Amino acid sequence: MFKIEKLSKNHKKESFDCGNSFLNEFLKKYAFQNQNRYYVGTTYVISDGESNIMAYITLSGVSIKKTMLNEKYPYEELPALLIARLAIDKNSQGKGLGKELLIFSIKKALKQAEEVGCIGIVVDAKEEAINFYKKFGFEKIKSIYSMGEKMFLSIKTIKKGLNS
Amino acid sequence: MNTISFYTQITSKNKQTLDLYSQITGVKKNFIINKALEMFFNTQLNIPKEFMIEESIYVDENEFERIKNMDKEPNQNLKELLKNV
Repeated sequence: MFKIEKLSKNHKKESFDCGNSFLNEFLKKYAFQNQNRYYVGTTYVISDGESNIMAYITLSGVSIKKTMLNEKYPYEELPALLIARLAIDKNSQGKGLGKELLIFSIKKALKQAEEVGCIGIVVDAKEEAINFYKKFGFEKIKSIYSMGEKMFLSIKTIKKGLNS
Repeated sequence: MNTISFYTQITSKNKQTLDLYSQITGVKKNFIINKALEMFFNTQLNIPKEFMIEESIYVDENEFERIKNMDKEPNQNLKELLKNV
């Protein structure tokens, strides 16, 4: 069991390397700024005894919106939880940290569903992570104007799994 | 959503691209312009596009209905995972 905590100034980000420069840079330059200045997305980390980050996940609320054509009111929205980023340091891969963070996000989604509404988890999946999410039943969704591949797992499915 | 209309001038090239894109995709022009402005202002906050977190995901009507009604049985891997929740 790993301890998952909110990213703080005490965590050491500089040595983090998951093998994807984009995810490395996001953690080092933007995760804290997004979280503390703009309040968009919160990053949670698993760290070793010396505060070096072994893995992180960035979560955010997201709206799934319908673009209805030729209607006066063009939007309808569904609330969901977004796994915006998830990355594991190269030295910590293969230890089950990805699963730990996924469990953590499922707990958050269930809480969100209970308290403010959430129809499921959307993940912004990098190509190399698609199979990881597929394994747990996430499926691709066709989004418009989106950056990257989006996958989805419904709360209904999660609740069925909890009750089985 | 409150909307207003206003008059402005854009380049002929942008207008042609806007018309063409709207025609091909069926997406309304005001939606495209609103989205472009949102992206522009987000960029002004000094976070490059690839590092921004999307606050909205847009889908067409069929996909929206599919997502809304998605009610699959959990697979074995998910069931195992959920034992830890």
